[in-house]
This record gives sequence, structure tokens and C-alpha cells, in this order.
Amino acid sequence: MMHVVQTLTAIHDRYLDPSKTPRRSVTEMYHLSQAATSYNMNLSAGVEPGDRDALWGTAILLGIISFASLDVSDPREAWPFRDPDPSDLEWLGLSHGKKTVWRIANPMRSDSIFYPLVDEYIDNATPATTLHWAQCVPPAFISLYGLDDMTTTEDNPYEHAVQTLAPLLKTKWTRYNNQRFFYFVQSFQPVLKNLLKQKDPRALLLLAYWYSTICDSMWWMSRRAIVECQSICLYLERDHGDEETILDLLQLPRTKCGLAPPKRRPYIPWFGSLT
Amino acid sequence: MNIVNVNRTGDSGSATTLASRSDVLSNRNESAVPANFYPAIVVSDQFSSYQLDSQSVDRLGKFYTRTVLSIGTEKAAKLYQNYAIEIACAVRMNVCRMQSRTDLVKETLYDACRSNTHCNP
Repeated sequence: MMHVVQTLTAIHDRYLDPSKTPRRSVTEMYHLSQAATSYNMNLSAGVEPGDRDALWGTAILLGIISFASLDVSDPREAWPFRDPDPSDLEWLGLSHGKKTVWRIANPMRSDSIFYPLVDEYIDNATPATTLHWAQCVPPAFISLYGLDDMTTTEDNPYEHAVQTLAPLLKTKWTRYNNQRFFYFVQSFQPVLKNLLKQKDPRALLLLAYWYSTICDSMWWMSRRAIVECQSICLYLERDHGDEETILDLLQLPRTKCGLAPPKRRPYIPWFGSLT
Repeated sequence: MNIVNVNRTGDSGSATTLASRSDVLSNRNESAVPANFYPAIVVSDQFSSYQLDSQSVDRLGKFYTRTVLSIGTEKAAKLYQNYAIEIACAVRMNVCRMQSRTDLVKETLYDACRSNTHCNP
């Protein structure tokens, strides 16, 4: 935990000082590697009942660190626009790991130091809106993701994610409802994660919409949300410029993440977009 | 050896070391606890150990007064502020080892955190 605290504070220092490079500092890297090693060893050694709160508290901070650990500020150097890198979507894997730790640590048990937060967890687990999901998404989503009445989650890898994302598009982010927003990525099915790794344009569009809901949030969330949202927009415009529906749907995330409106380019089917 | 020095009056300083802040030593007021009363602080578990230097104690202070308040709901932030150092020094996962009592280490760290003046929460 001490290394985790040191890492997170060092990242926060870097974020608060615009004169510092966006690259990770040696201090961050040292403490994070020590924290990860120690955490894995402690987990492997078995979790005693008295360790559970420390285990969960550390998992929360590690999750924040993984999301905050973005060491570029130029969207062209960020995923997915850049060439593949082993660290791509690393934060998403850690986000899923937290679910396992939750089951082990059970922070909602009555003797947990996290028990006072149980009301917040319950509040954020209830639906954010009474609207049907189809009323919350752009109409073009229905056809783009094949969400007619006949599809089921088993044969449509996007359906669950679209339905989870939908109410967030009608919800203003606050510190209090933050957990609601992270439930979207925590609920990703493995097939959707694989599609993201393969830079599937529909999966990327969903992630861009989610990022657009948290561009104006806490310091440790907003940088990745803005930079990777921009990066997704630029990638889709570069590599999928012939998919008009996707380009049209990109307008909202593009605006939310602060990219200038794109120049609309004439599209010639046999030649592609003209610059 | 790094020795943590904390001005306990809370009016003029933050955690520091003897070597890096001699000005504090020369100007400290009479009610401050002498620096050499403070032990080296080593946080460790069964696999590794880490001795907190002045920068680490300073960073811990920033975490306590600034960073922890910026990472979750207001209620969660306060809860974390109350328990983070407790957890960091928890027996089993992380054990604070020193020549005297563990409680004194925690007290020293809390003092360092509360007297941190490097940030605006």
C-alpha cells in the first residue's frame, strides 16, 4: 500500500505541473513495480481475513493508477492511433481483476472499513434512468450494431455494452455517480475486449462514446478519456474513412473531447476519401 | 539513515530530514520535538521492505492532504484519508518495523501528513 500511495501521488504531482513531461517519472515506475510485485506476492501467499481491507483498498488505488498512467498527451502517440504496444488496454485488464479482488475481500461485509460506503454502492447499482435504452442512444446505433428485436447477447457482442452505455449518455457525470460509469467497462464481455484489441471500429466507437461522458471528470480520468477519445476519432477517420455512419456518429465524441470539427471530405466509393 | 523530523506545532513546516532542512533545525521553536527523537521508518511486509526517505514522507503528506481527496466520492475520500496510512502500516499486509513502538511510527506519519503545506487540497 505504501508504494501504491507513493505512485499515485507522484502521478498526481506530474499532472499538476504542466512544465513536466507527460512521460512517467522514474519515481512512479519504481514504486509501481514494487507495488505490483508486493501485491502479487501477498495475493499468492493467501489472503487472511485481516488482510481483506488492505487488499481491497490497494486494488482501488491500483485501478486508479492504471487508468491515470497515460504517458502521452498527443493523440497520435496514443492507442489506438499509434502502432500496437504491450501496454495497450492494460487498464481494462486491471479493471476486470478488481472484480476478483472484490469477491475475495468482500468490502461490503459489516466489519469492513469500507462498510460505510455501502449506500453509495447500492445507489450506483440502481438504474440511472427509467428510459428504455433505445431512447438514450442515437437512432443510427440500432442498425449499426444490429440491435433489432431478434438479437441476443449470445450472438451480438455489442448488445450488452450498448445497453449499459445508453443510460450514461443521459446522465451527467458527478463524483458521486462515478462508479456507474465504470460499470460500463467492468461489464465488457471477453469477446468485446478482443474486438477492442483488434481495433474493431464499432467497438472503438462505443468506447469513444463512453470516454466522451467522462472527459470532464476527475484528474485521473479525464486525461486518458480526452487523449484516447481523440485518438479513436483520428484512427477511425484515417483507417475507416469509408464508413459514413461511423464518421457521422463520431461528431458527438469529437466535440466532447475537444477535437475541431473535421473537414467533410467527398467520398468516392472506388477511390476512398479525398483529402 | 534518514530520520524523520516533524514540527509538531503545525505552524511552520512539513516532514523533512535533518540533512535536507537544517534551517528548520536552527529556527525551530521550543515546543517542537527534537528531531533526533524520530526513528527511521521502514515499511515492510513478509516479502520486501522500504525505508521512507524525506521525499517519500513528503509525498505521503501530499497524498493525505491533496491526492486522496481527489479520487472518489467525498465520503470515500474522507474514509480513505482516515484509513490509508492505517492500511499502509497494517500488520500482516504491511508491517511498520522500528526500534520502538509501531504506534509512534503511525503518529509520526500522521503528523507529517497533517502538517504538509505543499499543496492546496
